[in-house]
Amino acid sequence: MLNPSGTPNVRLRWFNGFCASVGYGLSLLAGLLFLAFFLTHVAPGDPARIILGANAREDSVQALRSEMGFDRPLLRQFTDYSWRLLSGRWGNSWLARRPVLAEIGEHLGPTIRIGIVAVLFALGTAIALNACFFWIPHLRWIVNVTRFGVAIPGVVLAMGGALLASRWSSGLSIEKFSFVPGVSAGLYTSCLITSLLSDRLSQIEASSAFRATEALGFGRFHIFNRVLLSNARSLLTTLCVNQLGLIFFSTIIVEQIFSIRGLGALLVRSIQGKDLPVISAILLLNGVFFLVVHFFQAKGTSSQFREVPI
Amino acid sequence: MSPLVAWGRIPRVTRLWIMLTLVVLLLVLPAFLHLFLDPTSAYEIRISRALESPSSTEWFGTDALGRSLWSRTVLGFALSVGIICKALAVAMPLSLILGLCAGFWAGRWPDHLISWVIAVIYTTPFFLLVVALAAVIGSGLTVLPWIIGGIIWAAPARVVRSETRRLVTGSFVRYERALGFSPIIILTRSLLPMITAPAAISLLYLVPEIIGIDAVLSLFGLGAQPPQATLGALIYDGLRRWDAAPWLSGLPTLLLVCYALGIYSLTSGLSSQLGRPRRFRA
Amino acid sequence: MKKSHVLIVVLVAAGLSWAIFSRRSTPTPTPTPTPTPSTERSVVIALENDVASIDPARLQDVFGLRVGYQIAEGLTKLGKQNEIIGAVSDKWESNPDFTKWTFHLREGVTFHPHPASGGPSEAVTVNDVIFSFTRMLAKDAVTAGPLAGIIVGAKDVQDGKSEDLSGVRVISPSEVEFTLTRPDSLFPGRISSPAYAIVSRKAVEADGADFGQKLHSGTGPFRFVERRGNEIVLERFSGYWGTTVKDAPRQVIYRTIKEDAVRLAEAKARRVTVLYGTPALLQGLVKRTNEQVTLTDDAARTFSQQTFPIFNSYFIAFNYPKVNSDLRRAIALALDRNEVIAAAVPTTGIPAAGPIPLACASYHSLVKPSRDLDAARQALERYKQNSPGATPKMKLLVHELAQAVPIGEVVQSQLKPLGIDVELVQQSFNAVLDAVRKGDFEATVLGFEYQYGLPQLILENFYTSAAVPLPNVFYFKNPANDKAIANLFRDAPTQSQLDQVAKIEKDLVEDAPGVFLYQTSQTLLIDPAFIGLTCNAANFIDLSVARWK
Repeated sequence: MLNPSGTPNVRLRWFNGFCASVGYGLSLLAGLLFLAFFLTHVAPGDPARIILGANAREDSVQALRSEMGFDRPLLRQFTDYSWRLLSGRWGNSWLARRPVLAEIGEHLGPTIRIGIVAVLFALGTAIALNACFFWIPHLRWIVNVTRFGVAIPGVVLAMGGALLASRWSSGLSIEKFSFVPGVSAGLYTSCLITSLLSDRLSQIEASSAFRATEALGFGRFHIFNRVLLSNARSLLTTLCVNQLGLIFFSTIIVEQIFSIRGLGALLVRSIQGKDLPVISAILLLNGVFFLVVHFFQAKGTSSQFREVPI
Repeated sequence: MSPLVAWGRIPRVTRLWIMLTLVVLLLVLPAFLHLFLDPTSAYEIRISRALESPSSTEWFGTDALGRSLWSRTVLGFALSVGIICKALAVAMPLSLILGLCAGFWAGRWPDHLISWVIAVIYTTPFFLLVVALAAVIGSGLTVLPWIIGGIIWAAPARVVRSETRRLVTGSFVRYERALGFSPIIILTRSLLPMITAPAAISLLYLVPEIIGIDAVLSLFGLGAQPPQATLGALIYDGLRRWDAAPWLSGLPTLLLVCYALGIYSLTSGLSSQLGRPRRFRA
Repeated sequence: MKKSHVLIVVLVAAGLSWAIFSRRSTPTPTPTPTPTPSTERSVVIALENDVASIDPARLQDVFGLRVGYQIAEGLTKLGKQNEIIGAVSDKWESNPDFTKWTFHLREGVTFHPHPASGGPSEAVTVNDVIFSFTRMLAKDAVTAGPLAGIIVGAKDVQDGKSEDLSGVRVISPSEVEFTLTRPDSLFPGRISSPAYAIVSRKAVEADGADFGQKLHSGTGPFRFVERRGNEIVLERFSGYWGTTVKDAPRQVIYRTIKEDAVRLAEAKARRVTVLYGTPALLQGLVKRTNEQVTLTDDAARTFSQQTFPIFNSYFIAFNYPKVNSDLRRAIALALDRNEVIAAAVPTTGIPAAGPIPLACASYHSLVKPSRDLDAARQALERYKQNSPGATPKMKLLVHELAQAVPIGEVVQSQLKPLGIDVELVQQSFNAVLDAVRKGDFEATVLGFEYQYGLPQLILENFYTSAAVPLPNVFYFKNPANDKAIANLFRDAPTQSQLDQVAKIEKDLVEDAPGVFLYQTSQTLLIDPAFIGLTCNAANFIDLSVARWK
């Protein structure tokens, strides 16, 4: 094979690896499609009836059922369904009668805001508290307090946050300010990360490498930043990614308590109203999001420990 | 010999097993609490005594139908713990078997298949799967543990898989292979005992998440059938009357926090016992 | 610091600032007690759940109806005293056998200004009326049901066979004639719901899927401004045909606050002006003595309240053909409605043994909501004699709405001493509705929130064979009953017709397609500084004479 760069194997291997990743991603997508179809089409409840409302007469429901193909064999429905989604026809929400993507787009903003606040809050408190422990070691008992945060149910946390916000934040309309909901959604994660990070840092502090750095006379900030945080970075990344699902779950509770019109509220409404196009779309978009996140996480943390140049 | 020294002399693995047994006991015992309770007091409706605040006769006060909240809380606690234990009991063997298989045959088709299923589960929110599956299969306390257990095995299975992979490349598995042991023997006799504790710990970390799903299920009208109520449902329903009767959700929450805190602290203790010193480079 | 660190810091800072400040562009409309002119202070009305849509053809929840009532009107509407009054139309007449109705459009009724029309508000034309009715009867309109069988040609429109509604035609530029398939002396009442509102053809065609979500144009006293987050913002329509008090507030905001505790906290913080009381929320705030609802001393410092009867009715629905008639009667006679009320709606429940709303003007029910244990035992004996070996039992479906769970729990405990075994099965409301539609149930707890205050229409919609399975969830079939109800629509409504209704209701209750438990009144908690507000029995608030003190 003529190859000007002279490294045919590397190129080819890279290409093969890329194809394999893409193929694997596509197979996961297919699995996701099947899951979405299974959960939305096999669940009890008559789609045609949902579209027409409770008061519709039986014969018009029957007509719509056959028109939309809900009486066809399941396999045929699955192929139709996959083809529709893959060709970009995501359909209309049955409850709001609008394009699904427009509906999701409208509800996406608040959830992303809450998610960002939650992740930043979790990371921020974890790093800040651990920095405190590093500088002032006898504050380490606070770690035990963070265990409380792990134990309190999310519903109660969010309700407490909402009641406090409405009592003490005059003029600060709670649904406009993502801070309180975000903190409510991220508190569990922040407590978890704080205590796990603290465990990890004390492991590192016990290592000979750490003592060597100390003996070499580097400054506290340098040690914390370059030795402790750098070595704990893969742990932080993994924790954050693994907690993202849980944060989304907390968002649902938080959005219910704070009455925020976000993705979680849309999902609850759609599940209650059996709005299948919306449920499918959220399932798929969420799946694709996590596929991408996990892909990058796998790339980013492939080497377990970082070599830190001093 | 003081007890502390004696504890220190016990081999680390034995210590670990003793602690694990303690955790499991703490985890399981509350599920049988209701056996010590008069079952009628949790269901007997006394409208005239609705929403009484906690007193010496009614420790936790009464709910909107005048039922003893203490009895209902203990019963709900037992139900919730029952769900958790059953779900863990379903998830544990699943994660062990599938994780071991995937790790032992790493890079071959069983690994590909199992990792693929785990990846698909990971891309879908846990609660969404639970709610949707409950809608398909049907809800209720008998089905719920199966559904939850059928989903949460994915996280510990990943741990088991990577641990197995690490051990399989280790020298002792190579010796065993050289001595001609069958894969089944290697898997069950030498790998399984070493894998169980990490898998159990990673499952135990999921307990608060299972507790959380309880309250959300009551949002969808799934979960325990009335007049029974799980702890999560009691808390969520009680929040509606937060102003008039704060004890309705406050006291069950307190109980739940104590329980979750106990489990979590013991789990962290366990995992620090298990933690090995790692290499660092500077 | 390495480059990647700088990048991360910048990204984090950008994300944080976006997360916190991205909503700053919308000014906070929160009313503050600072001395603003009283018309400028917004009125905030709290809703218990999200509004799916406010497009009349897409109204599917009671919250949408409540908001929709302010924005859009039909030819007729429900007035303050629950009477049918003219809205877009000011007078109407029919032929002697009530099969042709002519509606005259009110002069000077205009749609709210809309971007599509560009300029000022446009007058309602007969074409808009025909367009609106065709649209609300279309295949995917959710509220077509009660009209579908009655207007000539409606069936074809609904099946997609025709685009024209042949039963509605223009007589003159200000008159529309409806031709009906059968006599209906109460047609003006039938079309009084906000779901049958007249909308602007131009606006609907220009807005597409955004109509009812981001844009709207009706003829009501308030104009839709925007939907932001969990709020729907309305502004007083200066061109409204009706009268309003001079210093009435300009802006009304409907805000969704789902949790009772949070809603109450927001109202106490004066960020909510009007609050619909729910049973859990009212407990501890109000007390009831001799049917009179008063605030507790503590609550009276924060709120004023108004309580008025509404059309809601709560009951156990039996699957009529499936559950034995003696067993049905035994259960109906055995239940203590007062205890059910004390458990489910202690502050607002009114015992009622029949389905017709007690709030209906000049209606007197003939059935008494009293418990008769002896008669119940006799009925149970008959059941045991006629079906030897059978144990009296019932599987009762409950769900998260309409206080179904506490009702179910009380019913279970009340029937146990009689030897009737009740198994409670909780499912989500939609699953229950599904089971009801398939006839796959024995009994369930339901609540109807009627839009109609007309007993005749309620009987026709919920208890005739034509309405099986929904809204006749009972599968109640009785030819004599069908005939008696059909006769009600051949004569003009009078008191004697109402007496006839009461007789039909009595026969219906004897047959026990359901156990009618209670009806409710609605308590509104109001900011004491806001006065003059009224509310009709369909839970629609009238703000025409309301103002800040």
